[in-house]
Amino acid sequence: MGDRGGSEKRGLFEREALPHVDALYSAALRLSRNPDDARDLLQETVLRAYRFFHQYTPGTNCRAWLLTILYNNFRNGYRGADREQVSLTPEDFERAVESSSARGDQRLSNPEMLISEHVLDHEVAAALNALPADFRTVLMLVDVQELNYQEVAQVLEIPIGTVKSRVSRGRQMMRTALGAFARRRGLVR
Amino acid sequence: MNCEEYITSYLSAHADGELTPEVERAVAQHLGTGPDDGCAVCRARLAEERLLKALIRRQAATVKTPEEIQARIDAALDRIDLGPTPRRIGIAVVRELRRPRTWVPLAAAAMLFVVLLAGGVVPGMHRGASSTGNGVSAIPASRALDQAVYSYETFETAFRPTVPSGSLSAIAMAYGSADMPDLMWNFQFAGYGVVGGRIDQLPDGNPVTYTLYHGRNNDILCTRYKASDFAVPPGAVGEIHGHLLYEYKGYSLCVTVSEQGRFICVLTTSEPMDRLRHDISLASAFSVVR
Repeated sequence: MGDRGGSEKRGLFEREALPHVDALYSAALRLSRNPDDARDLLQETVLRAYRFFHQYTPGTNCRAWLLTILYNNFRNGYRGADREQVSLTPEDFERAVESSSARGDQRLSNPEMLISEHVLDHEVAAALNALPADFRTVLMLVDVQELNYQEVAQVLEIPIGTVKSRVSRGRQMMRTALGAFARRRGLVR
Repeated sequence: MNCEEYITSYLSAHADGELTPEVERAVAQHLGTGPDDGCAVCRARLAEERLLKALIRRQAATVKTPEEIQARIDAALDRIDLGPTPRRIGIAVVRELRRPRTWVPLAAAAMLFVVLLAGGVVPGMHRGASSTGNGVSAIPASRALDQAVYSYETFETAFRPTVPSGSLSAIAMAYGSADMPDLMWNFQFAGYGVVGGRIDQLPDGNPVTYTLYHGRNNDILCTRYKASDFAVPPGAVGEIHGHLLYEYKGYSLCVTVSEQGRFICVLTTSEPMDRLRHDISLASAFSVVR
């Protein structure tokens, strides 16, 4: 029923943007932490992307563009305000890990491998979930969505230096936590 | 470069392929390549960092979007394809309506509808036909700015109340009995009096309320309807007390999207943003307890 311009736009949108829907849904689930909100967030994101598809520059990273809209929606969402997660600070996180492992920061004092293939998926999940939200977010965008630092900076509207330091700090925290899990299981002394 | 420098400053970026060429050369020199060359400890740390990336990716493997959600999105895209685009409401229609400066605002909603139909934008849509039965407008919140600016420009010339408008409480009562949101903005302390209230129909046949406030130099129009979604329009320039502020087509707007009441409320004024901000800071909410 749509006019020709509309169906051309729709076709382009279906080719360029819709292949990323699963990635968006995964990100939405992780942000909103429940399927109903994730569904609404995804739908809002896709519809807004469609309305503003003329602002997308073909040849650039469409997934990064879509994620920018998704994170914007999430941040600006009226619903976000009362559901703001109470987030740990990096210091809280490290204290929690330290108290569970009864060992200090081993980032430099123990240069051996803390992580091995024997790390269990549920341990990775637990560590990620315990990570302060800002750090979890950049790791998801870099490691899961495979965005580069510049794209992450755009999506989150933060300086690239902040992206860099959060990635580094976030991975350190992951490593410390996974190392603690491994020690508890007796994999690493 | 020493180990500490590498690990604290470059390890993550190295694993992510984000090093500049010159840093990359320095890093390669530090890491070396074999047992007798470079730093084996840092090479191990790099391998570990890459493993960590893989573990995170594996754990957070992409979830397949449920088909039910896919279908909802497809249907919503279809609706957008069929519906009027924001630009058509914002520019073409407004220009069309502006031409006869003496028209009667009572017919505003009907005229918008006629123009859209004449443009072939809303095929098969009849007044009230798309009403979902619960008075929820199909106009998404994200088009609220266009809708509000259009209304402002429409009523700028003449505003004729359709409900008893002797006071804010009289207007609130009328809205409430029409099952419309009856929480009212009160701009009395910002120097605005209420001109009156209207209950109208949106182009899709669903109800909308317009409340006009008149100040010394400017007017503020409050547009409210029940929205089908709660997306907020992009591009807010600020926020005050949870309301989002926009500068749009030369107007200052303030958008409130209420999930509880399922309505969107837009204040529109031609005064500058800092004045609107000031007025809102002095405004209070007024509602009739029934």
